[in-house]
Amino acid sequence: MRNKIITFALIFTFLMISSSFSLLITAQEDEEELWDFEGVMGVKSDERRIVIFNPTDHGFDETIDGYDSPLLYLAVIGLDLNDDEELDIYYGFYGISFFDLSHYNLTTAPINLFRIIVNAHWRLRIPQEAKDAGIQWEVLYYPNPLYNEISTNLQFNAPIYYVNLTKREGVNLEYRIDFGLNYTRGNFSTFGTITPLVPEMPTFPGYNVSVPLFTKTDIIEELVATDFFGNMISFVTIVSFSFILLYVFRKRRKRKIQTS
Amino acid sequence: MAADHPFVEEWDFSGNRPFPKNRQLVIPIAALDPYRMRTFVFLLNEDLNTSTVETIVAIYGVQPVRNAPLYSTFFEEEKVSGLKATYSFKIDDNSGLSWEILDYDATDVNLTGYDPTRHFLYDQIKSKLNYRFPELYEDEVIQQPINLAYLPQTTGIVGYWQILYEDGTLVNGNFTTYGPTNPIFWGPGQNTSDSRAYGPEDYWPDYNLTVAQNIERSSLPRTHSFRVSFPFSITAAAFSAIVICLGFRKKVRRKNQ
Repeated sequence: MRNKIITFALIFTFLMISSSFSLLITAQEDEEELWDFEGVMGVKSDERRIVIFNPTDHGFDETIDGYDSPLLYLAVIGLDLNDDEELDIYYGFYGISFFDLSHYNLTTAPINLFRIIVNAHWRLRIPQEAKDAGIQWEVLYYPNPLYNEISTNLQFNAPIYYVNLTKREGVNLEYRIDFGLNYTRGNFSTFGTITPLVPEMPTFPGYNVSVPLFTKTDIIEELVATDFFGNMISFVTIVSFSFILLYVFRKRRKRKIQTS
Repeated sequence: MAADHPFVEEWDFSGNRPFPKNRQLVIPIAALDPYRMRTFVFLLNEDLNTSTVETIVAIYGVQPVRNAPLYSTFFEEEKVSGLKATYSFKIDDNSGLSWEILDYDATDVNLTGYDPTRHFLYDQIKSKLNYRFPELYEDEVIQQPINLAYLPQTTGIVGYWQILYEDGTLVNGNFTTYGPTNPIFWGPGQNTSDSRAYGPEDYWPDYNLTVAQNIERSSLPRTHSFRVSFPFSITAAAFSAIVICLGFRKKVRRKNQ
């Protein structure tokens, strides 16, 4: 009877361990974690921003009902793709503005979203819905005059991979930034005529504006050290092995007593 | 000297760059050339310690496309370090390209085969070298011919380069031209990788540009290095022999007692 219980406990433990491994593997292959690009900010990273659209230059009013017509920016960050600590690639965010959207109950990302934090791991992707609508990564390089304008502020005259966020309304780009043990998630949502920046003013500001939004900050679970009895699997494993060990020792002790 | 390396059997041009100013980078302003095609000009000689210029080599069209395959930063910096170096260049025989002679004739509009691009390039190089190498000029004309590699004419591997620094560091690479027929980035329709970044019809660049690629980098054997030529097997055998001898001695002592 005892042997049967031990065998059962061993099989149960083995199944639990193997199932936990398979769960981990499927989690890594999950569609949720597929990103178009990723890179790390280093000591040599770049961060620049230029105005690409000034509403007053294009005939839009500077202020409407107390709201300032937002300037649109092209923000560029330079990331390291490998471990050589050299800047390898530039990513651009075309048509953004840090407009306050608290009336929608949305949190606009902090204005220093693109600041250089060494070892901050950036991940970027265009959501499938936006991709189907024609949003894609584009390359900004010579002979585009805009490249001449921004490249004077960059360390290297390397191409910039960017998304034109003003093309379509809705979420056009998603980001995730790992900072140490935590990560921050968010997206770049474009507002225009269908979803206006201010609900009461459907014609404001008269052009599409992409706002970087903050969604959540959470811990990176893979990096969190779990307790000894932190989850069910380790608890069952440790208890089962303790019982087996206890049984083996008791059996050996009995044998010793019998032989002596 | 550099031609001894097996990477390329024979270089078209090989020479020393004694001073940093012997390598110049010409970048036209956007108003004159919207593509801002770069030209690297090397003023080479046989002797590392003299400033005499014996050969002028110009490499046209090498762009700093970071993140391009095997991209090398050696053809990116506007200024080079003071470390003396030997440069070698070769145009690939199968590319269909050949070295061109760029001289004052390039500015003559009446000559057959006049090309405004070459004319513009000659003027750019001339103005760049004017104050740095006045000894090369006579009547405002560069007296020596410029050996020009006009690389973005055809796509694929178009040439090879080598840099041998005076500290023994050797860098070998090639020049590869990318363009519509040989893009750097393909869309998922053609792409075999998992990248989801590009649309099915998307590719870049849509015009020819050349990228300097880094194939290998190594350090030559240094004669002043301290080497201990004891192979491991001999060391192990000697150690074993000592252990056996000591053991045998102990045994003999015990017997005698």
